[in-house]
Amino acid sequence: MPNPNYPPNGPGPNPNIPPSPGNPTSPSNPAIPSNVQPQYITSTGGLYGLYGAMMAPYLNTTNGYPYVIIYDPSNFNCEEAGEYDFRQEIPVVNQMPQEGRNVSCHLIILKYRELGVATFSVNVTVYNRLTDTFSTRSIIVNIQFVKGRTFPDKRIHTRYIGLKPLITGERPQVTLTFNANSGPWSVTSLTLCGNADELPQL
Amino acid sequence: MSKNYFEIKYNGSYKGVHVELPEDIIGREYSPYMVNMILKNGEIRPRPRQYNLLPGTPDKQPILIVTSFQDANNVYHTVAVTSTGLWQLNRNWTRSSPPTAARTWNLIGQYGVQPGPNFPVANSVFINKFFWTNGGPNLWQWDGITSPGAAALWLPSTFYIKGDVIIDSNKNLQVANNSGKSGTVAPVWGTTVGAQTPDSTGTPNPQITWTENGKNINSPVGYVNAGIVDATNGVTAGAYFLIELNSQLVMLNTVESAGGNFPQRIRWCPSGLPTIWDPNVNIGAGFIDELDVADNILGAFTVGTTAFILRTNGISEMTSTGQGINPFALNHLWASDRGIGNVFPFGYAAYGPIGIFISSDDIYNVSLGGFKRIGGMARDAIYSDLAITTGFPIASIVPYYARNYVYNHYRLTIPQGNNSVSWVFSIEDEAWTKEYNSSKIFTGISRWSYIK
Repeated sequence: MPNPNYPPNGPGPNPNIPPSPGNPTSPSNPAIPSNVQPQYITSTGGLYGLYGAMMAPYLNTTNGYPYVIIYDPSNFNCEEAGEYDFRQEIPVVNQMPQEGRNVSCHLIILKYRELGVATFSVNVTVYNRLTDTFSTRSIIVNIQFVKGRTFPDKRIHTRYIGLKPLITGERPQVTLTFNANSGPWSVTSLTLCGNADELPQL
Repeated sequence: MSKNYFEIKYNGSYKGVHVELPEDIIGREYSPYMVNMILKNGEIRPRPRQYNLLPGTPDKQPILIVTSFQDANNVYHTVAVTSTGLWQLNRNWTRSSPPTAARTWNLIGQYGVQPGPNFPVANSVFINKFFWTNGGPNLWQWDGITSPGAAALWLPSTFYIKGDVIIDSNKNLQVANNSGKSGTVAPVWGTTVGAQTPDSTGTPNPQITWTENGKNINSPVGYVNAGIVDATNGVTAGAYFLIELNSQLVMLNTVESAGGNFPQRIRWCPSGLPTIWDPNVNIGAGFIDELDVADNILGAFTVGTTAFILRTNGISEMTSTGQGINPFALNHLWASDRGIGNVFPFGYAAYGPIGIFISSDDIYNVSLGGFKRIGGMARDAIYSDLAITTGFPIASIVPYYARNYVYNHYRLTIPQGNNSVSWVFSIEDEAWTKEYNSSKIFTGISRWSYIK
């Protein structure tokens, strides 16, 4: 969900920037810090050096206009889509790597830090040797507003994500994906649970 | 629980992208692919949001740098350079909502020849003045104080700072050798290049000694053309790269108004006098052509009292000798036809004791302690993106994105058509992550700048 405070295009209000202090040359203005000496501010203007931001200039290739962006590290509601892939797994059962064997995955235990309303996907991809194809199951995770307590509480929460029907195949791979402006989230750990195929492999 | 039950747990710390092994063999802390994620303190998050803070300059030209400096009155100026000239962030830019280009940026001065160069800007702040150059035959200086015209006329009983430039009654430029207070009446100005003119109100104010620096050849702009390398003939120079070393500004890979581009040339000013570059004016200025190596200078950064001069196929160390006439010693770490060097002129960045640059075979972290490969497990993926770049990759080292969010990152943005890919190296975690920006091409480095 787009965060209305941070429109992806076009300038918008910045919570890091305080309201304008009013006439900066007025000595009676309480917004002027005591270490600022307005008499030294020249006709060319200039800044107090009180607030800064990490800036980068860029050219918007859609409208051809230049802009200066800032990176907002307190806001993880990315304006672009993204993805994180874990490795393809060869589960070890009874100290035996299940190389070339099917496994069945039935549960993902997801621990995440609550940062706000967000939606993202947990995906499991397996390889099916019989059809020589990869198949993917996507489970959407919705982190919704919770009444009656502080939200977001910035603490670690747990979700059990059941996989029904089971996902069966070789080398399960978990990926996390999200759409642009789909809210902030943070995965602290993820556990994939399953069983190895008991049929002999020829 | 079945005897065949298994659990596979992923938790930090994570080590970023790994493409040097098959995706079923890499370690669990690696990722075979990621985009627009950030790894911090063992957590996986979408990367920080980027949003437009400021509109571009009214000329609608690409902004080649945004940075801040502090003038001699302790006032900060956030400035932007475009091919038009120099712009300053208006102190009251937040008063218009949404901020407009015209109310956000004030034009300090425009180049005499339009359009000016369009390369990423090399800049340095020296004695409370902002110096910049970007591939044109000029080194520009703005003190943040003077607004109209280039250099001021001499004034009686006025405090001047070392390096200040004024126009004397003969319409020659005079450079202050030291800080002090001018006399009550104009001195008799020396009229030959390099002539010294004492000027004083007497004790307790220190006497100023002015050095004649040729005819006033500045453009009618709001800042000073500092790079006069031949005061007699009015030859100016700029460069692609600019550093400060041992209280001296150094231009590298120069572009000169007579002769054009000298990709092997290094010029320096006298100690503490960044507005004098002609050795005939001050013997402390000088230049050297690195003709004993076959390649060109493609970057430079300073680590302590040593500058690393990045060449295409090598690196030279430049150290101070303390001698006025020959102030620097150059030591080529290697001068081979093929070797570790910097292949992208704006793909290097430095922060404190470290510098990072891109060679043909890997990305390197260099410091006084030596060299270290850092491309690591993501090198091939990074080079795949570099191979299809459609413009200059631009690198920055970002120590923090906000005061309370310390992410010590090397950011390499690679333009690809209308979009950009950025590879981000966490210097602390030694992990690479990848970002993608649609419809954005970065035109300058990322830098902490003041907005209020």
